[in-house]
Amino acid sequence: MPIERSAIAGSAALRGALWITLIALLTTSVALTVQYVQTTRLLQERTRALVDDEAASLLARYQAAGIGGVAGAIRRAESLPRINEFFYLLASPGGEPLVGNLAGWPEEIDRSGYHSFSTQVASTGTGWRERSVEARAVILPGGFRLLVGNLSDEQKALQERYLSALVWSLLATGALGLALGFWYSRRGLAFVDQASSAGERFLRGNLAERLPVSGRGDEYDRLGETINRTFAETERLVGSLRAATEGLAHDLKTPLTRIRARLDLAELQASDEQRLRTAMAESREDIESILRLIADVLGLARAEATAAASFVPVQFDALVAEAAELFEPVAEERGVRLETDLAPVRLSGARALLAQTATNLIDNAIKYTPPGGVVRVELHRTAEAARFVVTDEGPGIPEAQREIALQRFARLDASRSEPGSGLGLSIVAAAARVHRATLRLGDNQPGLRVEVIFPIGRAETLS
Amino acid sequence: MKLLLVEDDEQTADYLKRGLGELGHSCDHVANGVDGLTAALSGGHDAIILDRNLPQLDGLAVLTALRAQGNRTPVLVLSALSEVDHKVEGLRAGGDDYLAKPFSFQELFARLEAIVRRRGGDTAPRTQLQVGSLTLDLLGRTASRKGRRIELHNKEFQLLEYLMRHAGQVVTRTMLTEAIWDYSFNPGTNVIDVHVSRLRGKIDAPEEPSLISTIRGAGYRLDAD
Repeated sequence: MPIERSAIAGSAALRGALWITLIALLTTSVALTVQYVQTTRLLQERTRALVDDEAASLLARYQAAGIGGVAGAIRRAESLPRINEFFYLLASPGGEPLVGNLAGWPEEIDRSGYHSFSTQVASTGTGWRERSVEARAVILPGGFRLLVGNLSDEQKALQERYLSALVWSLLATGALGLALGFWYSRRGLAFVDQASSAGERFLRGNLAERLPVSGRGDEYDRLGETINRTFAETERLVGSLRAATEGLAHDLKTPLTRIRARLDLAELQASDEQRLRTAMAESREDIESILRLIADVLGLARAEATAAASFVPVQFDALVAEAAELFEPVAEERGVRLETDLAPVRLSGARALLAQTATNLIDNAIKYTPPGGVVRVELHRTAEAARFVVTDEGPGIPEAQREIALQRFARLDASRSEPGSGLGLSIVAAAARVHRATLRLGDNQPGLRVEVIFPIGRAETLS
Repeated sequence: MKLLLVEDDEQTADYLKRGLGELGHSCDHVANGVDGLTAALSGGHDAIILDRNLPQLDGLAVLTALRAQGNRTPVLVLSALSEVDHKVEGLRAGGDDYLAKPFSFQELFARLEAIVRRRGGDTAPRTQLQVGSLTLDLLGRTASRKGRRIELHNKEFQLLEYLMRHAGQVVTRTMLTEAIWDYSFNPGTNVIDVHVSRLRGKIDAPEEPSLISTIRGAGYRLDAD
């Protein structure tokens, strides 16, 4: 059952867009997260370095002047306006605050090291505010606790910013990704869509259908060209099949009509035995010609289906010589001179087809050459090719009709009366195709010159 | 002759039975491979006409089984597949000759007669063939009639040899193209006729009766004078 075409294209484009969006979302999230982690780490390290410096100077005071020295230093620091505002707290081993600008020892800090916590800080104008603090706790000898901290609001702000940035970025990426992705996928799929519509129109019988090729030489163009070649070959085959069927029907109809007429007549004259016998004999001849035609049609089908896998080495000149010898008496009877000039040629091919190529061409040449004329059969050999040439001195084929002459059942009007199924040249053409040879019809001035040029591979060159 | 016909197509079978009957030969007919093999093995036939495409058991399988049992009855294989390689398969499986459909009755009968004769005739290698006044020396590759020496080309010699080996039988044009020229196709309208008439001109002196007669619609027959 055919599926609605636009539905396939639509869903494929949507799938493509979704994939693109998903990839973009992941990339954005990862990028933002990495950036966030790096930045917060940097800020934290900076705050800790500041806190460390301050703590180190207090510890130095302790070394020099003991607890009293530390308390003094803290009081002094509190009273001085500074760019970096520090939090200090010196507490007893039990946690009772002794000196400092923090109201009490934060409950969550129970050992030395770095800690983050938040606390209420008085600020000008707005009263109390919750602020984040990055602090270092030190346990002094004797159990006294020292806490030095600095405001680290940037980290919290950054976290909030990050979250909102993430949400907005993802929203934007999602929307853009979907839109661009859909557009991009549609663009690629437009070709697929075009190809499938063209294919459907082709199937419905419009054999002249072709796909547009942009000329950019990209993958789409290559695919388009392949599809176009397939269409063209199919059109050619359908055309030749149609012509063949019409030709075959015509060629069968003529003798069959004659047979029926003769039978009708014989029925009327059934008492005359001599007439009956004549009718039978004539009908038999017509039937023979029909059987020959059928044998030729089968032969052509067989020729076309010959696979290169069945090829064997063939001494082609011997094959041609034998064919010429076979036709020698026929030529003589007709008063035609048959001349041969054959260079040794070894080919890889189908023996029966090559033999038939030779006999068909020689048979035709003798048939069309008037008495007193010459038929030449030649086989030449170059480094890359073997050239099989048969020339006659008959009427030849006008250049415009040579293409038609190679089609099945083509009997050009001038020769309609000649015997034969009209398949001889078609079989030669099929044999040439199977052997990758080139078949050329030319002018012998006067007469027809048929050339079959076989390419010769390395293997044959050696022998 | 008593013949066995193994053919599943009723029309072909009827036509062959009628034709063979009119020539005075009796013909048993079976329509599938299994019955065909049973009938063939029961023996008593002078020749078997075996279709390749049969229900139950394929013609080639029947033939292979028959030969495996040591049965040497001459077999003519019929087939709708006119492929050369199918022919080779048929002969390799033990067939004596192979005929592609469509065929004429004369063609079938000529081939049938030829394979039955071939089996019946002495198989000892001969150096000379003799038909009436005509002598063919197979070693010296020469022919003579009533002491008159006849010059023959290679193909003419082969043609005459084939006709003499089948003396008294009808030989078709296709049989000649296959045997002498080894062509599996029809080489041209009247090529064989021209060769035979040329041969006739060589072996018949003006006052002598013609040994090779043309059988209308069938082929040729060489008879003793």
